[in-house]
Amino acid sequence: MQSNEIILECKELKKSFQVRKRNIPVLNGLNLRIKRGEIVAISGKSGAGKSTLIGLLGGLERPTSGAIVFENKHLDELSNEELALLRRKKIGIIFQNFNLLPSWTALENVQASLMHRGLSEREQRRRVEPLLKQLGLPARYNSLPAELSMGEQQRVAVARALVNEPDLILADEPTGDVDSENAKDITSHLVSAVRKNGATMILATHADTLLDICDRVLNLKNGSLS
Amino acid sequence: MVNDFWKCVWRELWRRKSRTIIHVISYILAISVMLVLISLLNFSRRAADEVLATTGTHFIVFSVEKQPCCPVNMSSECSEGFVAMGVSSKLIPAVYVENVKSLPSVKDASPFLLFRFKDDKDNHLFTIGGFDPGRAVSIGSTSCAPNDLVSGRFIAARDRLVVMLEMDYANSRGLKTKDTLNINGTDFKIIGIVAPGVRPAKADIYMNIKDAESVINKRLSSPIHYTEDINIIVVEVKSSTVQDEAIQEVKKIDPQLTVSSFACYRPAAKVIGINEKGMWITILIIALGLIVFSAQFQFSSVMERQHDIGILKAIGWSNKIVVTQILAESILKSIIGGILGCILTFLIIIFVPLKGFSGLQTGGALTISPLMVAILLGLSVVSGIIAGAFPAIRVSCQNPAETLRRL
Ligand SMILES: Nc1ncnc2c1ncn2[C@@H]1O[C@H](COP(=O)(O)OP(=O)(O)O)[C@@H](O)[C@H]1O
Ligand SMILES: [Mg+2]
Repeated sequence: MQSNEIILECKELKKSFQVRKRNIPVLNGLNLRIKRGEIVAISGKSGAGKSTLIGLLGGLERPTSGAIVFENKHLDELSNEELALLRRKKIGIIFQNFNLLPSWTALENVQASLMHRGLSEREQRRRVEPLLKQLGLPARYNSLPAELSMGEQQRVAVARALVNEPDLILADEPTGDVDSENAKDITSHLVSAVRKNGATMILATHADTLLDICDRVLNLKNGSLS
Repeated sequence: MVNDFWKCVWRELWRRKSRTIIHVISYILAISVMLVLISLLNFSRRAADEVLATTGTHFIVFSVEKQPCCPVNMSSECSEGFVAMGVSSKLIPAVYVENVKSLPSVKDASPFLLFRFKDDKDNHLFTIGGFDPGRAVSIGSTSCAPNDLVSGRFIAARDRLVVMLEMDYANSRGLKTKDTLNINGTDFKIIGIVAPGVRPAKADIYMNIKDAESVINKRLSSPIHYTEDINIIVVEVKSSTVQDEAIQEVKKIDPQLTVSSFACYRPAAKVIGINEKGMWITILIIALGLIVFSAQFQFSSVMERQHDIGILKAIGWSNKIVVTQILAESILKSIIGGILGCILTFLIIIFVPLKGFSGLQTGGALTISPLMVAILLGLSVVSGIIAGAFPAIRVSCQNPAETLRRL
């Protein structure tokens, strides 16, 4: 389902953090072009800057310099509110440590992605429940995250990123804390959902297990990709 | 959209039930305590006005006789004579009545004759009060009023040769209405018994000033005429606030004039003033306390949710939604608390005998003014807005990536 359309492009992307007056460069002029429908893995050691890159691509953080163009829009030209709107409509993020809302049930956590879009409660459930079922979480809709296993929590996080059928999915070590059996299962669901929707996915990982299902693998090292 | 919004607001309040309940209760308590204090204040003000109306808005004017045993005009013993407030008094020109009446602070003034007699048969002393029954305003508060009747009826303007007796006097003499009473050889019909309580111009026997004049003249060597000479002017002032002014002006007419008002309006007015100030300060402190507590409480409860809010912003919730939701939560609590506080106040006023605790017997029933209810509901909502605004601003400034990393 790959096309030749470039959905996402990074040009000379730089990001550094200011820690106690010391400048810590993380990304040093990173270039990246991703076609619509591609599944790309970003591999790299812990601390290489994978999460930082995911945050920049999702508009959660702003680059020190350089440009990010998503669907022909320059992210640095968008306000925070516009970036939030973009995430709500077009980008699904799976965070490294799940980041589920601890006091919300599994169902509510997934529903959060669909809220404030004018969908009725019934319509929201009509979208959430089959997805959770498909991800292997039947009948645990009303459990709180703390009552779920790591693998189940991760499935909820995946469902939350997929439920509004985004064009781009950013997955930060989606199987990081999950055993390999579960990891394979979750990944195959994730990949088949992405392929089915014709979506694009960028997947950050420090393990090699996920690499074979990807179209392309890029290695993040010393602040740039190879 | 609206549905999702209120669903989230409600869910959030429900999830933190105990916090929500504590917060709402704090609104209920603050609002109801303030409302109760305000209605007590109104009540005590009304009671005070009533007290001041009966003690402080009238007085009598007379002139003290320095040598009571050698009165001019007296043909009989010196135990008899004109009296006022228990002392012998001189005659004063009746024209003073009109002078006093024309003062801007005075509502009404009328002439009064008060004369002490010694009974020819058993030598007991009694006083006769003569007034013009047509001038009820000034007479009622200083001497006796139709309200004070125990039995019979009040003297009317055209009644002649009739009297009303003071209740204690009537009892001690064994007299009652419809009996006939002979005073100095003239027969009077008793038409009423009155019990006026403490009044500056109190007499044992009340009659028309014209009758009083002729009865008194039988004891005087040279007769008086009440249109020229009287011994007391009874005065009703426009309000207790101009009482002092009226007294000063009356004394300017003739420096020899003495004024007696029982002077109780002064301490009463002062004590009430102090109470009122203290009450308002208390109410102000409660209002400020509510705002500060509410802001602090709401702030800490939103800060606990910072991480949740960071996640929601990261998955695409706009600042607008997050901020309005926090404000709505805070305002909703303040409205619910405010309304319940008003309802509680109504219940307190109906079921708790606050009037008894206050020790005030007068003033009617305790009431809540709709204006005060509106003002306090407004205050409640304002503190809800203030309480919601701080955390809302804080949350809208936070960068979701940073929040997610930090927590
Ligand atoms: N907000 C921040 N402030 C300071 N340093 C940061 C911040 N975020 C990330 N870093 C640093 O940037 C580097 C890359 O971090 P990260 O992107 O999380 O790596 P990865 O996800 O590849 O493990 C690390 O050295 C980390 O300490
Ligand atoms: Mg990482």
